[in-house]
Amino acid sequence: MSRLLLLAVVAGLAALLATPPAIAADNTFACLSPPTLTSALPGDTKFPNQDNFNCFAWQEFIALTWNSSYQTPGQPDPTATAAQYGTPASTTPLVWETFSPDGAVFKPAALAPDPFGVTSPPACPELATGRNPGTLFANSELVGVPISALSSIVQAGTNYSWVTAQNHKPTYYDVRLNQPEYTYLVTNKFYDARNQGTAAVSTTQGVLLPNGAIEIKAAWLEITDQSRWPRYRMVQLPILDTPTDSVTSVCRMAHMGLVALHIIQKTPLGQQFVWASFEHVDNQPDYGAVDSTVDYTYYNQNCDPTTDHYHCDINHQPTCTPQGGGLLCDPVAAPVQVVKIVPTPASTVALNDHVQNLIRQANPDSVFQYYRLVDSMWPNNNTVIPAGSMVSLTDGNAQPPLAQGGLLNPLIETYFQNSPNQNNGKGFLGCLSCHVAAPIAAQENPVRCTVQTGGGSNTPSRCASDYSFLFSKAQCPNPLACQTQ
Amino acid sequence: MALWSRFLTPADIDDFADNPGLREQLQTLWSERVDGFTQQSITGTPWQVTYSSGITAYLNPLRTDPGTFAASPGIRWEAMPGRIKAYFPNLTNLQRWSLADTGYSDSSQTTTFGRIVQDPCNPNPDQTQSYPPYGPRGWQDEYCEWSITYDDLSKNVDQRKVLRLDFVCENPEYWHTLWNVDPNRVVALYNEVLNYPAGYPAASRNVNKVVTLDDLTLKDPSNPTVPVIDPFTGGPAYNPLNAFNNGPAGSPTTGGVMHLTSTPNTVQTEIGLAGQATLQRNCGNSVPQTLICCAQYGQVHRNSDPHIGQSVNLAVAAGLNVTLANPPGLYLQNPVWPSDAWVKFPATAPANARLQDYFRVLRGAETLNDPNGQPFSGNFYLHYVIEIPADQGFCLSDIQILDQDGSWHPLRGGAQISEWINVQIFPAAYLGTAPGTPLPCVGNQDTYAWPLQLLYRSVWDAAINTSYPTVVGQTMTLASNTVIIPPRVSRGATTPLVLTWFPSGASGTTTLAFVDDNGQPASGVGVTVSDGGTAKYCVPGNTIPSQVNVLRLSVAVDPSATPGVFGIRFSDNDQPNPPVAPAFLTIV
Repeated sequence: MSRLLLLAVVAGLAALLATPPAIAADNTFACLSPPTLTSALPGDTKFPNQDNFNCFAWQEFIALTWNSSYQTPGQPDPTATAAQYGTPASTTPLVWETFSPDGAVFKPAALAPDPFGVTSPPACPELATGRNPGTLFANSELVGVPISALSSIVQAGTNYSWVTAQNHKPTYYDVRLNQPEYTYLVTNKFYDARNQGTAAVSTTQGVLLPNGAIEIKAAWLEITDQSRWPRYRMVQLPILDTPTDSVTSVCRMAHMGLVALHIIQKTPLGQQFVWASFEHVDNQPDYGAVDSTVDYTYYNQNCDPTTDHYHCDINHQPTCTPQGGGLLCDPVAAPVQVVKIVPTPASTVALNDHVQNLIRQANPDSVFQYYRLVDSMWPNNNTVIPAGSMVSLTDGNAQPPLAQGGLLNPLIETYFQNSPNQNNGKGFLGCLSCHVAAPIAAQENPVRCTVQTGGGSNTPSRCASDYSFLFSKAQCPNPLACQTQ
Repeated sequence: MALWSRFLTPADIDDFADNPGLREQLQTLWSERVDGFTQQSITGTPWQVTYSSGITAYLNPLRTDPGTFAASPGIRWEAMPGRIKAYFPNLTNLQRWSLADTGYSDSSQTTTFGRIVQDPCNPNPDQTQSYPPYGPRGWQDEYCEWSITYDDLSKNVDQRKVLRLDFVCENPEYWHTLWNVDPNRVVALYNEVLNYPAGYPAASRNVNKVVTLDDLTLKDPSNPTVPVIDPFTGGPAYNPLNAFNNGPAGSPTTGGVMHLTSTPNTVQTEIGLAGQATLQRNCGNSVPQTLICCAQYGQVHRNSDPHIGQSVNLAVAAGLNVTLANPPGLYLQNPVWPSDAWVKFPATAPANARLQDYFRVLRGAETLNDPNGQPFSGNFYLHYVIEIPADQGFCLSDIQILDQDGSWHPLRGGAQISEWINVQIFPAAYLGTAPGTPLPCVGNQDTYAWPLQLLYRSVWDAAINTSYPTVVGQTMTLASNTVIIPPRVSRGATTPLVLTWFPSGASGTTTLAFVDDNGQPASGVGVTVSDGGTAKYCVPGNTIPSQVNVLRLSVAVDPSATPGVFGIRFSDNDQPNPPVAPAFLTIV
């Protein structure tokens, strides 16, 4: 049970006085602004502690998974009600699903971006009909490509890091950004790498995203078992697939279920961003805590080491080795036995229970009652990044600290989890462990920044991109001319 | 809501469960002292710091109805000192842990803390200082201190077995107060806690400490066999840096930790910080290091002070008034245990052994209720221990922990675990009014003499003349480990005292008066100043020693004088009506 302190500080003193304090029934978390079923996207938390950032994270999730407006990409449907929230089999795009995919902004040869929320041309135009999937996902990164050039399924670690579910299907990843970030990128023409270099070394401009900038990374799994569909945010969309024994990719329609979702937002109290990560409750067990009543999508409770490709070794990263000018890889269809190494903290579990109940009360069929917050990460030492900053940026004393588990999503950073016998050699990692080193895009000539925020050497270094790896996707008009980091 | 009846003891602990009379004495005295800390906090530091007074959003619920309770959002921080990482970012984890555990970053115990800039808010590499705080474990400055019980202190540090780890957040003021009520109870608690679990068979025990009253008694440095006498009780005075509460390392028979000793680790400081942090500043409150540099209420780069200050400031900015929830204090939280995947026990350990199996809370409460009768979100632990019973055939240093850098290391001390521990304070927030007009950053002024601390002359003389070395080469005196609590004086008696103070910018006549809450002089109190001088010590709560002025005086209290707690009005330059410093003297 969770205790709620129903104090609305969001709207200032008037709201404080208008909302009498009340107590719900839980003793493991306390939020000044507990989550509610509303489409309003929060701009920040009012109090910087783990519970309040967790509540902020859930409020973001609810707002971004609200039914979207048909008229305005990125905006919620003002007529949608809480009773409609998460209706199974809904074909209405969610708010975040109408954000721009990164590929619609960062185009080859620095071509002009598509308008916000629009992508062109569709990856599989022959299958793009109507709003869904044509508008929604047509040119997203939900596209598998031949094994020699894996991209959108290779995200969960370094090198060849796909994650295959027990149904033998790989996990696909989709990266999107909201309108404030889109506007910032387009206004400054940062889709052209050269403009990033010019701005980065400027002591007045810098590459600094505005508060309110949001990036999304979603993980999707093709779910063929229809009995599972009522528990998932499902969409039907085209994927570019490579059948076994073929070198030719083909487009086909697939029923995709949302299995994990990262949300990061820059806020006044989160200059190092607020990192929120969600997962489907059926994904995988915690280490040493398999629940025999759950039919996990990424973990086989009856795994047989003698027949399993990876011998049931948990979080076993696939490998590819060069052979004959190509690559010889573990089969993409071989399931990976996924386990969450760091258990979700008790206070987060309590909050999840509370919000899931809240969702059930509004819509007993809502698919979002089957999602949960893994945790949120935020800066205890919130630090404004100055223009001209170099990598690595400060992590702002990110919370939870790495020694307390940090934050990783088992389906998006599977192989960074430091599993037993699968030590990644990098030690503990959290979101900011990597994102502090996010650089601007490759330039024609070396560009060096001098402002140090993260300790270590003060030698001028690559310019930082405000914790976002999206910037490095920008190209120059002549891509071959810009390859210097 | 209504006025609170009293401030509760830390974690509402009952250290006189079998003695209602002494329990009442302790609870009354403790509440009186926290009331004093709170009044001091609300007063601010108007004597020599600009824009540091006029506090209205920090409440004393014993004196002002706090109104409608809103929330108690925990303010939580990591126990591993943040300043070590901030100032020495290039140390390996092993070096950093060694530094936090021992004061040295190497196993040969020769490399200590490097020098740091004097002013981290305006760093000048040419102006450096030894790394403070300077106490025997002064660097453990996140309101959590620990002691490692080794098998044999004569061994090289990396050859020792680690038998037990004690972590505490108990404030020193409480232990002084407990001593004031009954020194023998303090002795009993030392024995109970440091030898926990007392009921274990001898074969299971790692420690056997015999603590006596004499061990805990402050001694005359000119004759260490002579106890210093508390003039009020007539009994011995307390030595907070006794052999069983001293330094980061102990053996099965000596050393240990019972309460905080690093000079800034006091609850009076904590309450003062919270009060100062309520003042809104022009610099804004979104960046904690900017705010603390502006408001100067603690140390930059700690995990605690900047975060506490920012949190309080944000709460006030949202229209809330705050105070520390009852019971006020600093509290350890359950460790955030590492994944079982990251811990390896030796083969001799029981099957499925987990670190949690060897964790015991010795003092404090798992949870307490807030003003609405609902559980607070967090624990109220004061002292806990991790210890493998001796007869299990292995010890803590036989356990391997996966390091953040991806390698496995034996559990060598408390620093590794301190990274899993959070300390928490519980602010109680009440519906308030719109926050005040933001102020400029604080500045220096020298308008008034600044009274700092009043204490028994016998205690001062012994403490200021008892020195001890520190790892960074700074010599400290025990005066830095005293506490700011008003000395009690008896009606009908004359009590020798010492006042420490910072002088104003102009010299003149020194005047001193004890005054009540209304600023009226206490009746029947005569003050005779004998002489003055200077001294250097760390005013309790501060991080760095300062040069102070010292006034030796005697206070004669008429038998008919009004009892109570009195403030002090002190001047050294004829300035009219200098601000009163609350809670400097208690007449009994």
